[in-house]
Amino acid sequence: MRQRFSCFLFLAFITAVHSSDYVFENDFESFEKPQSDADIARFLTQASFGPTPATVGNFGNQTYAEWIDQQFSLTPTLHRPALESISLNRGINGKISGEQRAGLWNKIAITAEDQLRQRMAFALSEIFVVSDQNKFLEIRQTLVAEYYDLLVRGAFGNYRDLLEQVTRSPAMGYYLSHLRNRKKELVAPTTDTYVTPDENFAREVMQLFSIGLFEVEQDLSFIDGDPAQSGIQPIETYDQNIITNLSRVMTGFGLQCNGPEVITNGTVSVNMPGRDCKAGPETECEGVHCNFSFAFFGGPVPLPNANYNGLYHPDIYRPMMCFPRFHDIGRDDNGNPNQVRPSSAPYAEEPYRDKRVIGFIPNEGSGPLPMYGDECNSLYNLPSPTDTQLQKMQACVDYCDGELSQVLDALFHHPNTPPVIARQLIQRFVTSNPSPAYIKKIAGVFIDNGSGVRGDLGAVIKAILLHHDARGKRFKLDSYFGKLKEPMLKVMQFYRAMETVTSDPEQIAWGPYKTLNTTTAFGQRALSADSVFNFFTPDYKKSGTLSNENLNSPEFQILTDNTVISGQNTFYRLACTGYGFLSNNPPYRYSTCDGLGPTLPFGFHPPERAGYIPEDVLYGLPDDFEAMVEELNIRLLYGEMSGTFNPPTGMKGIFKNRIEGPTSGYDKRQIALTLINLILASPEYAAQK
Amino acid sequence: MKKINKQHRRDFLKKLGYSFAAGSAASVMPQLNFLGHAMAAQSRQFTDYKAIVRLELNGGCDSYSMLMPRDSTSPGSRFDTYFNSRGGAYTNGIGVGYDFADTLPVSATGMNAGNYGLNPEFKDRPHNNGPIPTPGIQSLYNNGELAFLANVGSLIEPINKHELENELKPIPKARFSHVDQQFMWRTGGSSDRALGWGASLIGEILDNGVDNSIFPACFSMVYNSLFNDSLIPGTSFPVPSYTLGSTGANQLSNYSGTTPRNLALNDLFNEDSFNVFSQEYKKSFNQAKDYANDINSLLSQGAGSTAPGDGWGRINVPYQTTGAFDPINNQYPNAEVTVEGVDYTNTLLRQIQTIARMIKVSRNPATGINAKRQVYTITLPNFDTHFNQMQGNNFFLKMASLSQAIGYFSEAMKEIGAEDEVTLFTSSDFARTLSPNGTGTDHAWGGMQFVMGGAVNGGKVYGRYPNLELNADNNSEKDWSFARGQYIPTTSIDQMMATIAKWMGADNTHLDIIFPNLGNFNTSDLGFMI
Repeated sequence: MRQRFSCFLFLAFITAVHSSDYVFENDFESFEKPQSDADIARFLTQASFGPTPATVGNFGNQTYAEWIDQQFSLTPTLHRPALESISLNRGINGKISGEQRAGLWNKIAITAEDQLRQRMAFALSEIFVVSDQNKFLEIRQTLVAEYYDLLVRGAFGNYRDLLEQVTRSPAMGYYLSHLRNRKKELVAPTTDTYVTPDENFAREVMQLFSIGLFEVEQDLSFIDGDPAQSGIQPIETYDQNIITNLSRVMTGFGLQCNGPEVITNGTVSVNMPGRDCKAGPETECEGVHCNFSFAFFGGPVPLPNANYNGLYHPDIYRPMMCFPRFHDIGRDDNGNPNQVRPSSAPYAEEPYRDKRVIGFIPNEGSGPLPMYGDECNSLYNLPSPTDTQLQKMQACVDYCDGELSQVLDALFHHPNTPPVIARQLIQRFVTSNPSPAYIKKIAGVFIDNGSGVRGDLGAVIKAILLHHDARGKRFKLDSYFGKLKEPMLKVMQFYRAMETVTSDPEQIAWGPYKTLNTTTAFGQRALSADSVFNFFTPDYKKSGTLSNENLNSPEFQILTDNTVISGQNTFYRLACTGYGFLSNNPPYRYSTCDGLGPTLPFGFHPPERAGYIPEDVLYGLPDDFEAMVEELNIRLLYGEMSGTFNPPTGMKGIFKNRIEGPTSGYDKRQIALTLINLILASPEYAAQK
Repeated sequence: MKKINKQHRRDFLKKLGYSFAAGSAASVMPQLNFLGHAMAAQSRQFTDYKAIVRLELNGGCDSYSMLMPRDSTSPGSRFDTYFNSRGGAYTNGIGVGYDFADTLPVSATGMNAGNYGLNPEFKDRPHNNGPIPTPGIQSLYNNGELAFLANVGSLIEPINKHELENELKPIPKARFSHVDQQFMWRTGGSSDRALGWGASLIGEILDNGVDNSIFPACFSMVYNSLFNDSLIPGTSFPVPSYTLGSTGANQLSNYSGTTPRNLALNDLFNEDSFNVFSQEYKKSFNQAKDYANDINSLLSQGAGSTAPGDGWGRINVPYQTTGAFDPINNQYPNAEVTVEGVDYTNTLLRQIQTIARMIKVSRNPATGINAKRQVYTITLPNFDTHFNQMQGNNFFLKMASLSQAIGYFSEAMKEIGAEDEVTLFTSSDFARTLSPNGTGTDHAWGGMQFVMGGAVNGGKVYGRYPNLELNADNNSEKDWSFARGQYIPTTSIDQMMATIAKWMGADNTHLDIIFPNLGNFNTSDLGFMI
């Protein structure tokens, strides 16, 4: 991809140098440390849910790298326990809705200390997508929160571990339907109806979570499959056969079965009944015996009288385990597809063909495994297995787990995975159109974190944020650098920058959701995308200038003619909440930043529910108009507001002309709110440079 | 009534002439081209009104559940083949077929002659407020207003199983991937052009893609759609399009009047930004704000204030289904979802009502819009039924809301006398595997679509209705499928869409531009439009 600069002179210059990165690498300024509050604020706009006066003020003399390391060390703020705790404290019938989960998400994004981790989890949630728009997850919001916690915990861990946790997550199992996915077999001996493995997860784990559709170089450019032909002929990374075979690996995974448990949160505890885990009079199983129970088909029982969407037996949060009875261990493709591979049959040979996934066979070359073929079938659901039987059961489970492990290893080590993941993470944090060199650099860190470790996500995010394209002056020179802010970042940044609070105890617990439905206002809410393809795809190109220039602009996909307007209407409300002109006292007139002249006094009354900007914050802004604008400029626009006051040009000039004079003598709070509203609504705030 | 005059049209063209990013040389030339184009002689002026409504069944609709064979239940019958391929009926816990007696009988003559069954939900439905039932898809088919197209899918050229397996001919990339196949349907079948064919069609047949209207000619409901993304021919300017909300246009509130705040806002959105994303945001906002005012002022008064058929009160579909399924071996002790007595809101119907209102005002001379050609695109989501297709995923509710919305739309167009001027058609990523995967189905390829309207030569099944066998390989019948019944399409997306585009007024030159692979197929007109 060629580099694009707004200035023709620059374009010529860059073309001559060929690689723009050369320019920035040799920039004599050091980017290790911020030089100003604006530098800090811009860094924190990328690396957190937005700067606050405190996080800017406390940055001190740190390098960027030191700040990141410090963030790595913070205790993860988890979502599910907080959600459960609220439900528990409300009593046994405490329902949890998607809006409540999202409200808590807002609260954590606004207030948590482990900002980089939360931000990374959000980015990962837009790659490993699970959505509560799914009918099963809609009524299991604690499971959705637990999935998010999985991403929070794994944010700086290893991609390979995360991929396995995601794969085994019941939330993902529900979402991409590999939970209770079964090998091909007759539904019952008396019928001629077959079940066939579900291909959903098998496809998306490759297309979206790892290798992508086409073979790419480390800078994400397509590898040409046929240089003799004109143009690039992309090579598909997999075909339908590979999907089918991978879907066979992804069989036999069900929810754990651990008997009754007590869940405790704070001072409250609740008994969670177990479900039947084994045949015979006793219901509880132990060890590998559980993997051979009919619990495969069941799921945790909801609490009695709990309305199905409050709390769950913890089995629903635990990694899915293999039930070998339903796992594909090779079958006769030609004769009788219901015939599983007998113990005596050679492995990976016709007719009991095993799976071939991405050019390798799990266990190929190691010869026949100590497998028990049809016994993995027949040991199912025994009341009291013998020790020998238990050993065989373990071998069957090991085979199943080992096979999954090898497939995930193959995806992890595929050359596509580093650049595919690197590009998307850069897009979420820094810029929609990273240079090939930037992608390649980050892919390189994915391959080796410097200590020979592949897949270190902590090292990857650190390298993304410290890269000279992210930290240097590129954003001042390259008009195509940066991205449209996605709505959740845009809104959270405001809440943090203006130190919003709420006086409502409910909101203190749940977060400011009651008056802010971000789905309605902006078309986005964490873990609530329309499909596994996320709210937007990495390659979406807004029609016109961007598509003509072949530039990606993912976030524009959900900026419709409707959300752009509802968003603006909402920003007015967010800025002005709690403030307005006091008419008869009461009632008050609230939510207006505009002047009605001296006839009615401007005033403040804490709103019942919504988050609002405290009066102290407004009073604490500088009295001088220009100084006030500059302070807001740092808080909301990392000092990048365009123009000058004198002569009046750009955004500053507009404020000078339109606000300063006409509002002279107005209540200071009102002037500040007007400016805040306008900044939130502005084209400059809409983008992150 | 507010009348839109020529001045509005000029204002509108001015809106199109976006100011461009500071110093961006790339956008200077197109600006000149655009002006040149705008001043060119108006070579094509339509005097009649026509519109197409593209209904996207997003996620890959199991379209072999819309139209099924229904000849007889005897072994070897077409129904029997279908039923076996689908693993039987869902009552066995696994199957995704429908019992013979449950499907609604229809027949076809001519090509694909025979007896067929429609999805049980395609029946007429009573509505809350009125004696006349809303016709279902069955009635529309029997009435000759609706035609099915069999085994349509993405192709570059015709291909058989042998050619495919031996890679003798090119095939579309990523055939089973949602986004890539949606791309095919939105851009015009099997091309690599990243241009939506709806907007391309408008761009080709109308000057500047704006017709004689203050409106854009391309509308999508709720979602931005690539279908409506294209360039005005000879320029790098997008064909104008607008994304409607469910019930109309969101209008800017809280920023009106001449307060300092509102004056400043206007200034902010008149200022060019250095950063391209800021600049593009500015464009999006300005367009949305202006169109919303125009659209709402029309929709909120007179002709637009009511939808055709308003007052019929047919939004909610009270619906009953059978309870939790009881699978073989009683191995599903905890049924995941039981949908009983759901009062299901038909959001598709609500959205299609908004389209009906838009059509009503657009073609009504009294409003001064005088639109001549429009394209609409609307989405019914969540057809990706890998799991619990016949129960928890509410496929039957989707079929019910589809049938009800289509029936409503047919009645609405008749009420305003536009039934011959408006054609609705479906598209979907792909069909789904004939064989079930447990409780659902996976991604396949060629599938069924339908076309509805007074200009449709309906009551017929076009294309080649497949035998619905697993692993079919029959060259004489052009019947080719893979192990799970993924059918190789025998009609291309391009052929289906070109037939519709031709009805809209595209000539062969336009069609070759919009659908570059069209020439690879034996006909560009499948004959389903009168």
